[in-house]
Amino acid sequence: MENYEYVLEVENLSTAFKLKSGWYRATEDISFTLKPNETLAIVGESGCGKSVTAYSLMGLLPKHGSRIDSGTALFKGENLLTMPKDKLRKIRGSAMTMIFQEPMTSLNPVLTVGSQIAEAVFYHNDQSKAAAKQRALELMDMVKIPAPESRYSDYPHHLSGGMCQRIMIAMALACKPDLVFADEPTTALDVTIQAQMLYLLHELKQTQQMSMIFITHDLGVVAHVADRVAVMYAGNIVETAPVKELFENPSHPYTRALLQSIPRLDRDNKDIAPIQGMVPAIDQMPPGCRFYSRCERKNECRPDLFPALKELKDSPNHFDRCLLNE
Amino acid sequence: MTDNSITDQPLLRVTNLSKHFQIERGFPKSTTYTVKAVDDVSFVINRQEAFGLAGESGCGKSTVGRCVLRLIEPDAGKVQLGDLDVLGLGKDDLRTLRKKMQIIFQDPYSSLNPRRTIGQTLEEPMKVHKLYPRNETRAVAERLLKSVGLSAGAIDKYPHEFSGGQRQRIGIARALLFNPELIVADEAVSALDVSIQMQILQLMQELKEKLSLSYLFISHDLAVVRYFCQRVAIMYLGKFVELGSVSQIFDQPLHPYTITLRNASPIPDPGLEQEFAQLKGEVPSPISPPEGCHFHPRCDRVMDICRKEYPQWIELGEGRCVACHLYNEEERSTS
Repeated sequence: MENYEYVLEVENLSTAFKLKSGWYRATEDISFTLKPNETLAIVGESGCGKSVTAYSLMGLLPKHGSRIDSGTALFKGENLLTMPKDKLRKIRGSAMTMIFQEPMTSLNPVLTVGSQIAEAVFYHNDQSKAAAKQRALELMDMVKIPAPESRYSDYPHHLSGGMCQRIMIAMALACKPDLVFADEPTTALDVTIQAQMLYLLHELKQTQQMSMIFITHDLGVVAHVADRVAVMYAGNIVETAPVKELFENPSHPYTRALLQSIPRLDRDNKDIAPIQGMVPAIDQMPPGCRFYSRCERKNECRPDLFPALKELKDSPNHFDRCLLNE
Repeated sequence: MTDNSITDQPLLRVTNLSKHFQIERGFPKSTTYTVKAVDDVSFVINRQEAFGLAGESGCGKSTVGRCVLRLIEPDAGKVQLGDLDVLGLGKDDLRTLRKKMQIIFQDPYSSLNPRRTIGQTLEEPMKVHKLYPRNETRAVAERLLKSVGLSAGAIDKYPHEFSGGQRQRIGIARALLFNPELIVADEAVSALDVSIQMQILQLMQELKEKLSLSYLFISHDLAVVRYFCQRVAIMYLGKFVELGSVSQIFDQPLHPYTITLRNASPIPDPGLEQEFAQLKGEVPSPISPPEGCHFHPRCDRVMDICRKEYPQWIELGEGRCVACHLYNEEERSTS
C-alpha cells in the first residue's frame, strides 16, 4: 500500500443543483482533510449541505439535475471526482463505504439480511460463495447480532430498527474499508438504541483501523464520536476544530450561537438563546457571509465580502470563516 | 425553566386512564392480541404548568395525549378538566370542550391542508363555532398570525410557501384560536432544526405566560423537556414509571429506566465521559410485555419480585412518584 498522509483530502468542492430558474450551489468551497483512523463529524442543520458533500464524494448524486462545479477530492492520493466510473464502483462498497440514515428502507426487503452482507463480500473479493457466507457470519458476530446463524436467513422486516442498523454497519465494514461515511446513522433510532450504536461504532473504530466521516445534526452525538468537527451553514464549512477546542472555544458566531441554543439535560437551562431568523434559501444566497443576516455581530461586519476559511492565528488546527477573526 | 407563576390549582386531572387496542396478527388464521397502549395512568396538570411526558417510541405517550382530548376514546379511567367530566360529555358538549383543549401536531408539513390558504385554515373553525361575526374572522386571523411572529400577509399564502418553523407557528396560531386552557403539544418541536426549535419553544413559553396556558408536552427529547417543563412523567410500555419535577427526575432519577434513559442521552460536552456500554436489550414488543415489571429484562438491579409482580405506584413526597420495587422495599422497612 502506498503511503499517504491523509485518507481523504477535499479541496474547494462545490456541488450545484438545477432548479427551474437555473443552477444553484448547494455546497461551496468545501475543503477538509481526514487522517487515518480519524473521525470527522460534519454537523449542521437540515439543508446545510452535509449529506450533499458525502454524496458528491461517493459519486451518488443523481445523474440529472446535479453537477460538481469545482474541486478535487483525493482518496488515498487518487481523485474521486475524475476517476472512471468502473474504478469508482470498485472502491465504493469496499475501501469507501456508507452507512445510511434509514436502516429499514435502505435494506432490500426481499433478500435475507445475511445474503445482503455476503453479496458485498462476494462482489468485491475473489471468494467463493461459501467463504462469503462465512465472512458475513463473522461480521454479524462482530456487530453483536445474537445468534448470527439463525439470523442470517431473516428478512429485514423480522428485525428491529437497531438490528437493521447493525446489519448496515456489517455491510459497510465487510471489505475492511479505509473510510466510512456515516450519514445520520442514529437519527432514526430511539435514544437507548442510539447509545448502543454509538458504543458499537466506538468499539469497532478501535479494532478496525478506519477513518470515519460522521454526519449528524446532534451536537450531543458529535461530542462523543468525533475527533474533529466541521460545522456547516448554508453550504459552507464555517468552522473546523478538534472536538474539545470547538466546544470550549468556538470562534465563528454561528457555532457560538448554535452551542448557546441547545438545552442540556444535566443542568437548568437559564441562559439559552435561540438564533433569530432563518437560513437563506438556496436561490437567495447573499453575496457575502451567509450568516450575516442572523449574526449578532453584524454591525461590526460588512455584508458584501465573502470570507475565506483560514487557520486562526493563536490556535493551530482551528479554522474558521469569519471576517471578524481575520 | 423555573417559573414562579405556577399555581397549585389543578386544571386537568387524569385518573386510571387506560386504552387497549385489539390487533389481529397472523395469516391465514389470525389471532387477536391486546396491546395495552396506555395502562392505568394517573396525573394532574396545574394551571399555567407545562407537564412533560417523555419516553421512547411506542411507549404510549401520544395515546395519552389523544385520549385526554378524546381524539381516541379511552377504555377506562377518568379525565377532568376543571369541573368538567371530559369522558362523560355528549357530542354537543364535546364541541364546547374542544375550545378549551387544543393540540399542536408533530409534523408541520402534513398537519396543514396544502390546498387551503392559511386564512381559510384559520377562519373555518371560527365559522363552525360561530365565534366571531363572519366579517371579522379575517381580522382575527391576521391578529393571531402576528401574535405568533408571522406577518399579516401570510394569510393569503399556502402552506408550501412556509418553512417548517413558520408552519409550526401557524399550527400554534390554529391551536390558539379559541383561547384554550390546555394545549397538548405532541412532539411539537421534534421535526425542527435546533436553532428553530428554540424559537418555537420560547414562543410557546411567552404565550403560556401571556394567555395563562397549560401544556401537556409530549416529547422524546429529555433536554427539551427539561428546558420547557416544570414536571415530567417518564413512560415505558404504556405505564408511568416515574413522575416528579424536572430537576428531581433528571438530577436524581430513581427508576432504573429513567437512569438508563438519562445516561443514554448524549450531552453536548466532549469533556464528559458518558458511559454508553452498560445499556442492554431493546424495548420489548407491547403485544407481549414481560411478566412483572415491564423493565426487568433490561434492568441491572433486577430482583426476584420484579419478575413476578408489577410494582405499585408509590408516592415519595414532594409530588414525586415511582413504580419500582427497589423503593417499595425501602418504604416497607421504614414503616
